[in-house]
Amino acid sequence: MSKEKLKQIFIEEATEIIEKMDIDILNFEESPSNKDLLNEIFRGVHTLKGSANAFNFSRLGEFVHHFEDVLDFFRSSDIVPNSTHVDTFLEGVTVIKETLTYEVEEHEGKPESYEACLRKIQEILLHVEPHHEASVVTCKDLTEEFGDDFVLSAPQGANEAELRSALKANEHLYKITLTLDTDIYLRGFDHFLFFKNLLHEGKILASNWREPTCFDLESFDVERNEIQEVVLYLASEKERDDIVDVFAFLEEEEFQVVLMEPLKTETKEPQSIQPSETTVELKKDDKEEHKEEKSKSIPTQKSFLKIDSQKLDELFDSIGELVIAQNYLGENGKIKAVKDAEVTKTIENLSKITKLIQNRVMSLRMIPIRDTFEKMKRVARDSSKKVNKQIHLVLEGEDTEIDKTMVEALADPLIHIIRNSIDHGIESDVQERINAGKGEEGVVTLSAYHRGGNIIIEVRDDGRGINKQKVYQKALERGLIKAEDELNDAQIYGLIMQPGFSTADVISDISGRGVGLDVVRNAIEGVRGKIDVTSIEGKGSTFSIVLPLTLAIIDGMIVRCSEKIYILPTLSITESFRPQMDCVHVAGGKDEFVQLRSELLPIVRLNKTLILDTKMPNPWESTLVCIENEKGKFALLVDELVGRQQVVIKTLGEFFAKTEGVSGGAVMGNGEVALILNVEELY
Amino acid sequence: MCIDGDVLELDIEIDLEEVKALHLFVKDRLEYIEEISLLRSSTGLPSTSALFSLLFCIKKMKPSIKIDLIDATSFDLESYGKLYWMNHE
Repeated sequence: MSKEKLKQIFIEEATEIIEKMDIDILNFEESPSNKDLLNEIFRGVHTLKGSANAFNFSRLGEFVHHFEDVLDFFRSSDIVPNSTHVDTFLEGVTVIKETLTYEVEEHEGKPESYEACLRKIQEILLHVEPHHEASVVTCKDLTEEFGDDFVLSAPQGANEAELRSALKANEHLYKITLTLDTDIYLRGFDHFLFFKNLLHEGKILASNWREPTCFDLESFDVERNEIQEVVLYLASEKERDDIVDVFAFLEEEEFQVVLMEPLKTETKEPQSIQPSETTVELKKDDKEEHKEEKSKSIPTQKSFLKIDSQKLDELFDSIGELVIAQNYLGENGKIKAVKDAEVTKTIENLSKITKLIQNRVMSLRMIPIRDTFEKMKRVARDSSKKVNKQIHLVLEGEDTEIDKTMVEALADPLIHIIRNSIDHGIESDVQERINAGKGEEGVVTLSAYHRGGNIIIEVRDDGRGINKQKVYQKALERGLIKAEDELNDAQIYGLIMQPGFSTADVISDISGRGVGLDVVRNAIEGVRGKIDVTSIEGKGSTFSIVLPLTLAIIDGMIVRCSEKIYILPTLSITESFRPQMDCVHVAGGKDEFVQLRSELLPIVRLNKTLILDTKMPNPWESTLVCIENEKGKFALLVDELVGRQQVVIKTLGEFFAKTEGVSGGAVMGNGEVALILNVEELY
Repeated sequence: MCIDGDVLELDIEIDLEEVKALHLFVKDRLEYIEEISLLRSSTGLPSTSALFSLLFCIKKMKPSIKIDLIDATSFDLESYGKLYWMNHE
């Protein structure tokens, strides 16, 4: 594996660890006595340290090394971290994130808050444990204690018995065998890189180096490792897993870490111990011990496989083709004409299996929204501190599954909406809340659920709600609407999503700059979703994000117009109807309108919009599909509704990508290609 | 890296690229070099094991050459502990 690929894996894993640390620290703040959580955070930092050092990311390595010290102290003591400590931990995670970016992008220097945060971390230990420095010194004093000669010189390497007898009471002796492949230098590793990293875990006592076998200087290749084996002895207080972590990026067969058994001084003389026998026996014991440990700690472990998302996309495409081929087979007249029970049964079976494969492949892309929701805890915590409001974030429906691409697209909009709710929604004055019969603590609820083939994500706050009049006035002042415009509540609330719109009296550090909510709307629409705002003044507001289940398949309404079929996303359709003749009105001799209950909707003729032909069928003899886009509702005139169907979306390629009114294509069951209409561009 | 008469002086901390340069340098001048001396500051530690491989290869090619690092059976690297050479026999 190349160094670049390893680095990429490290970056991905490190990012996951950092994100998880954020969540774990916040959960730990809620239950500070939970040592398991603290251990989990420690493990994350420890893994980062090992990996950072393996890639020579010294700035990251140094920072996480000190961070690890503090966490190690808390996890092995009865002292519970206070709120200030948690603040420092969270700040530390932010610095780790920034430092990782610096390392990966090879920037000079360190992030701005690096040194200050490092000092805070170091100070925690000084304050909570005044003797900490002394203990470090004791550890470093190993050489003084044993002297330089404690490792006996022997013609065939270090004497294991002597090494073991030199250990301190709480130390273990590890025998580490490195049998690195010939390509290690090309992979960015070196024996001495591991030596350097092991210094973080303990003290290297000695190492036996098998002499390299190279006889010809002419053909000697510097980049080829000629050292077949190095056996290293490490004295450490750490557990075996911690030592193994140092070699996380090596192949399994390239290293072996064996915990050496302590000396049984009463029964055996040091020289009577046969090193080779002991090692073999201990390896066995060690393995069994670890097997037992594993079975105790992880009773049911799920197995996961990391797959390149591009490969999943390709698989998805192939399944799409399979569905199309299957539909074609089912719709084919010649096959239908075959009156053979066997053939019919086989086609039915094939259809079922195709559907099953389609569903299973679809589920591969679906992940619970839990992680995204958990990340919002940090957002809520930081925002509430910045604006000095007490906030309680409630999470609901975290197990709701959502397409991975949408999860990624959803994170930023959610952050903005939550910040917005905390900054503008929740009352600044606690008394105002109490007077309104609410609790002192503002409640922001983040929930996810399924509704009618869509996923709904809601951000609900119990704040002051949106002042409709203020929004209306602001929109008038900014020229976003005209005085004669008649807007319903949803349209007024929708104005806050317009670019440059802000009703905030004071522009705060976290929101209120008039940018953001329009970006939120664009981001949601980018994944074919939409966002609705509802609000009750004095009670609170709700931002509802409506998302399709997946990005690759669309729930479409098939319509026919001028002998061609088109697909409308059902998400944007509110209803379809055939109007009475007296409900259709014409204004100025050309603009047509239809009366739908109390609303007057403009009629948009699809054949005219797409310039298909010049026919003018009567609306009362056609079908009107009521569509809602960002400008409001309109009635699309089509010849007929064909039916509702899930279709696999195909892009139209670069040449047709910008065709107005069309967002993609789909191959129908009969092999015919249908265009998917972009409702935002039809009216 | 510097050559003083027939003694080649090297810094123990040289990296892989410098070992490559050393290889090229020694390859054509081996017959003139009688000793390779490893210089080391109080905290200096080896950066790459490739240096050891090259030194052993040089020793194999010219057994008379004096290389203090590998002529002794062990070598104290302080924080990296004592290093022992193990032959194949």
